[in-house]
Amino acid sequence: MSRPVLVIEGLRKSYHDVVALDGVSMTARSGEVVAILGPNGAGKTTMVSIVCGLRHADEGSVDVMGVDAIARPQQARKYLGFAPQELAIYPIDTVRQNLTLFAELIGLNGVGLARELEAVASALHLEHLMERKAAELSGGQKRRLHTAIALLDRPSLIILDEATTGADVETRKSLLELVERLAEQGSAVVYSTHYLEEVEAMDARVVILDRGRVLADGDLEALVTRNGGAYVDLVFDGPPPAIEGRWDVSVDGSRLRVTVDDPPRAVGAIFDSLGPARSRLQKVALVSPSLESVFLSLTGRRYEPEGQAHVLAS
Amino acid sequence: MSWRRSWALVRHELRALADDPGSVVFLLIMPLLMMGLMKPLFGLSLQAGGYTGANGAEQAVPGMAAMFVTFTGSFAGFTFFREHGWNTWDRLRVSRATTFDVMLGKILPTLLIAIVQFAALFWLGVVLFDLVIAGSLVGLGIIAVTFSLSMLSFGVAATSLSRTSLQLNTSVNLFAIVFAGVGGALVPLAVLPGWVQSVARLVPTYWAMEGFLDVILEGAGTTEILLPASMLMLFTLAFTVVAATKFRFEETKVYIA
Repeated sequence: MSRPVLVIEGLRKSYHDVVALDGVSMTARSGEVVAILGPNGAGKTTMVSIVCGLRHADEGSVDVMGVDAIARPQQARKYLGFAPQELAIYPIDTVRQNLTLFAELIGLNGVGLARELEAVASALHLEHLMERKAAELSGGQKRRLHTAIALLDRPSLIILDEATTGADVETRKSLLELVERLAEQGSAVVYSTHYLEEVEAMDARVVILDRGRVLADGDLEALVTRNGGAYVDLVFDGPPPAIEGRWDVSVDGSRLRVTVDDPPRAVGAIFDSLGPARSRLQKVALVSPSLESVFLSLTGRRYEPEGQAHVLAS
Repeated sequence: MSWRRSWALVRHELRALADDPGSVVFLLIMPLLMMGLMKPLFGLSLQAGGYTGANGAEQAVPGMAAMFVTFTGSFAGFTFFREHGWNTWDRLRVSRATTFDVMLGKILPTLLIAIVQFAALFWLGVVLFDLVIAGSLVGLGIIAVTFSLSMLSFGVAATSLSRTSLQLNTSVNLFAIVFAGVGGALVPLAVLPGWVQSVARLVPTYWAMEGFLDVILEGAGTTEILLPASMLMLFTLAFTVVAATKFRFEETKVYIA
């Protein structure tokens, strides 16, 4: 097993009465992609902010390459590359000037600096944009420059906080491919996102964070096998009917959830059992085992990326 | 601490200033206009005070230069707010630049601008308004540098106490006028009421004007300006203590363009 690059233990953080992190523990190893998945407000950005030394933790420890990142943040930053959630580039500077400034802040100069600029520009397809002012770039190009800064000098730990926010499809695809390449080159990549489909597209270990707690931590396939369920969701105009059958059923307001092994196969029989209530059916959703069903199984709530809670009564 | 890192930040700040030079140009043009307007009035005032050969430039040039360098002191503060506006502040904090590297990188350009501003205004004062400097140019330079430092540290202190750029702008503008008025830069101290003269020593501009006038009118050398220069360094220290104790790197500041 590769060495741990990031070790977080028992991290707690509150903002007045709001508990942002409630005993979070996780690790990231070199050559590994760890996807931190959670809806908005789950605590992802608070956690990465503490790792980067931007916020103080109330309790807990953060270790980066063996350095206590809470006691010695300046030392820990030597191993860290960070792309924050909000776009953070200098619009008045060119792409080259943006990269050069941060490369010089790392301590690079001369031939080493030029080589590093060439490497990150190539990785993020910025070569032909080097002399363009950042303000004149498209949204996707800005997002690539923003990410490129985090990769300078190939840090041991790369933290990308919602890296694809506002990115077009092409940029999103190339960023996800880049994340996997970075891990192949030996870095530990911590990738925080609220997009299920991104996590499902990556070969990553998944840490599911919700309301400040780690709900699950493991290989994607294993998580889905262990916790994912399949069901058919039906929404009626008015209260759902009682249905006959061998299924596990739960009701929440006008929503009827039928747990089945194979939703496409079962939906016909479910429809038949609705009787006259079928005319009141407004919406049907077939949910196969996935991260979404893992989240539902662990929290009792539908996964809403923007953080809206929808609690099911069992 | 790394001079190389600070220098990288200094170059970046100078690029930002070059990208929008309007403020800097304004801080040269406006004092020159004010000098031209106030010179005849100050001439009469100085002659009435016993300086029979004075033409008014002796008060107008250092007075307007001092007042407008106070405005320049806020530039350092605005650079911090601008980082928040661009969302680059956290990125800078997570970089390998130390706190000292960042502070020096942000403050040094403003100090350079203030010194260049003083030099340009005094030179133009000589060329355009017939300013005659009787004393030591080195002494003049010492006062200019120590006053610039005091206003720079004042700007950073004001930044540490301001949550928004609007608050910074308001407080700096207010204090610039008060310092200039009470300190004898806007009008000669001798024509101000007694109670103003008694509190004048409490503002840094008073000591700058004392130093400038000693050199220009009295022919003072570097030794004679030691007291005003020392007082200006004390103000610098006081403002720096405020900045050091109140500045919160983790605080989110609001940049209002």
